[in-house]
Amino acid sequence: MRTRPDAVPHNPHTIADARAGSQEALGELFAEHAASLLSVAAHLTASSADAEDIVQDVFVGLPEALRHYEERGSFAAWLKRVTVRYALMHMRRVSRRAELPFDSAPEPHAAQPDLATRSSIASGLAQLSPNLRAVFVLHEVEGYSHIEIGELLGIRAGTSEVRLFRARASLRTLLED
Amino acid sequence: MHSFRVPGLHPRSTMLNRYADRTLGTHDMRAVGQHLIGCTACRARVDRIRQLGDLARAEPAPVPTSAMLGRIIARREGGERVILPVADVGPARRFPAWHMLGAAAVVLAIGGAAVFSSRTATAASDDGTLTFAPALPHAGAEVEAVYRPSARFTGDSVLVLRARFVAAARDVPPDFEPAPAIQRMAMTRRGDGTFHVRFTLPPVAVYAVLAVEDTGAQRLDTHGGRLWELLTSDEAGDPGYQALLAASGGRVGWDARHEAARALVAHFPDSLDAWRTLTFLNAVARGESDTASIAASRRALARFDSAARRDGTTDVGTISSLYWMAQGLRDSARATYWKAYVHRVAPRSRLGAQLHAVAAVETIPRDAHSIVRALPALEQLWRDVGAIDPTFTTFGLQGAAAAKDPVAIARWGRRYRDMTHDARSSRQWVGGELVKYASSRQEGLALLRSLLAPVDVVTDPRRRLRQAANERQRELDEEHAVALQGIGEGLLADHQHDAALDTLRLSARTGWNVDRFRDIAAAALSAGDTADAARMFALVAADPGVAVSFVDSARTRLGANVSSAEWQRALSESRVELRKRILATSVHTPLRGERVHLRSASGATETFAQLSAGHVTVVAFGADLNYKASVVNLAEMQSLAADIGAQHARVVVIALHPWSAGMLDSLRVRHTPIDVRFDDAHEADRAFSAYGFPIYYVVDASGTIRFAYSRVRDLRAQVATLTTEPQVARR
Repeated sequence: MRTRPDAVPHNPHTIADARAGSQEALGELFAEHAASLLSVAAHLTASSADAEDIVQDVFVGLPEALRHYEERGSFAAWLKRVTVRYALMHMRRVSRRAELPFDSAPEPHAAQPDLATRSSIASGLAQLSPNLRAVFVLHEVEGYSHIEIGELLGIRAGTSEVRLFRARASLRTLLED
Repeated sequence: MHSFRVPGLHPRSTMLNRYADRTLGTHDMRAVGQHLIGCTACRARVDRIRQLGDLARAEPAPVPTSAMLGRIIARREGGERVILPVADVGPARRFPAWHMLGAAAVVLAIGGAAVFSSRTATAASDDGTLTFAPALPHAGAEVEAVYRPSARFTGDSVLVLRARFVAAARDVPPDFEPAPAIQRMAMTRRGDGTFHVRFTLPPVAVYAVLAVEDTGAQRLDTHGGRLWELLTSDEAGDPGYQALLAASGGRVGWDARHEAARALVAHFPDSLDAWRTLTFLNAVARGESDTASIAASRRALARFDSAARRDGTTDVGTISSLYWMAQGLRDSARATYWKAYVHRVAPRSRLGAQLHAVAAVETIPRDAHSIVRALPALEQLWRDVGAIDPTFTTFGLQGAAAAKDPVAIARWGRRYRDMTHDARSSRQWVGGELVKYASSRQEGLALLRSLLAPVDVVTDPRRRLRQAANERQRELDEEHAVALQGIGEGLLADHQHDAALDTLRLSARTGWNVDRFRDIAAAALSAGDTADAARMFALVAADPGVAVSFVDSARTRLGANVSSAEWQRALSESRVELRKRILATSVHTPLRGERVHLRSASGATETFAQLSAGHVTVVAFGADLNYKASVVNLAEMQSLAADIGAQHARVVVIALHPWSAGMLDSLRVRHTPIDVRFDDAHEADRAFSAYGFPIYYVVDASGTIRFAYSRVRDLRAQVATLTTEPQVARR
């Protein structure tokens, strides 16, 4: 069974200092966690550029968000959940904007994969619908349970499982083509 | 027996997936495992399933760089903040299974829940209709909104649906939360004349309030001021706990909020927080006169209380709710018990620390000298409990300001700004204090200048759902004026006289605020600019709310530098200016509903139209709450009624429910004979869409609301503008 990197040690003073607005502490948290957050955001959005935007936003908002962190569970797990939620919001914003004439300019980071430069699994993931990709990434890459995915996406655990199976079937078809 | 045990048959894809995930039961795992031993095809499928995950995990990810961190730091230094979704949507909260046998009967006794009727109801005839499919979506679901437009949108091909999405309530005081930003979505017209948009609910949203407007945000349909709402459902397809809780806090109008709280208790009778919410809204919307509701809440409290004591609960949320519900019901014995209990079992919990902070602050007298003396104690309290209670932080900043200690102001200012999520109002206050001292002036000027950044009022997410673009612009103009005044005074203290006077002139260019005009006049005088001082004093003198004696005193301060003729000319120009600026803030909102019946304390019922009788009328809303905030202003209303009576204008004070005997006694003690009317049928609440207390409106002679949410100090000028200006003429 895969394990999530929940047990990353952290210095509690770093969190308190970052909460108080210390740039140095924020830098320490960035050094410790940015790589894993970039990874989950890149998998979810299928776009490195979007992932960088998301992780940047997360760290810009982190000192204020830390007020809600009660220091009971793993900090790494909490931060990853916040990032996942924010990435999901970002994905929905992007897909909604794509439907609207409101912002007529095209999305600068539209999630159209550059198939020539991507591995086949990456291009397959990029071609999945955001809903299927989110479930696949959260389950297979990040190791969340269907109950946890249900809470994050606001869907039932059963729906999460069905989406996972569909995502795998689609990926298999895409990779075998 | 599994069919795939028959040779030639294979497990279904679902089973193979679950086998790969190891989520099958022991029996099925064994059965599929045995099948795989002899079936190469299925074994290959399971391998491929597992391989997909391995491949995805092996994908290289972008690498964090120092440039990225640099951009993050630069954005924060530029004052940028991002509000992150820190809470899960989660399922509806589950509460201890207390046996609430009486709860259902109580709910029936206080009336059935008709909370959902308003979602699709048509408001005033001038309003359109907005419907959603599905009507009760899950959080994160895709929703289609269909708007059938009112006549005001004839000719528009695109409209904008604005929504404020509300996340699930968390166990923090509301003061800690920034107001949720408002999102815009374009709706396009279809052949049948309706407007459509599909959108996805944010995964953390449990409730939304919405309004429709044109693309320039000039014409709004706000469902008659009430806004539309969208509730999310729980797994059973019913309105979720968090959605109803959000509705009880997010709807416009006390009656509508009370209705949502009743539905909350009806759906979740075992929820202590549901009862706590209903108890609070009962007090506001029904008052002490609704003895049946109070008795129901008391019985509920008694049951929750005894269950919690029996179980020896250590859940701070439960303890907190019991304490606050007991407080709301004035059950001092239980409130005292739970207060002592939390100090014993969870002294460092949010509630424990909050009570400690409040108790410490309450011992400080409210005069500036005492607050200054209490500063060291407040510092110690901050070290003990930290960012717990906003009132306490406000005290710290007030104390630091009273002590004229720039270092303490900067320190408490940072805490206060942090606590308010760097709200513009907090930057305004802190900046205004910091510019007064040389050592902190630059920090204060930077804060105030940050408020001057241009804002696109049409897309501004801080613009309220019921606020048109021009109304938001006026609000920002006022904010800018305050910031400019602070900057001007800072520059003046820095001996940059020319720049200071230019800035102060700019700050007085829009809006109507006699206090600001007076301050600028004093600043101009101190800088030796008599002409500017005269213009500002004349603006103050033109306001009908300013005492006549002020005119004489201003004239004396100006001395011989300003001739009588110049002063008279300035006064005359100021009266014109007053009218122009006050009218710029007016609205034209018809009262909703056919008639508004209001009952007097003696039992006679008259309509609002009869009471106003075609005259300009000031309407003051108040309620009988524990803090009795509305009582404070009755004397002011009495004085206002006497002043504006000469203009045939009137004052009507409306209470949402009959006031208690204690309140009426209190009025008698204060010798306040003003007529108070009771809104028994909640018609006034609906007609004015009031929220918060006290609230003031000015209604013109035709019965149209012309000024809403007025400041008391502006009422005289607003009345004078709507009548024939006799008050202005007396100068």
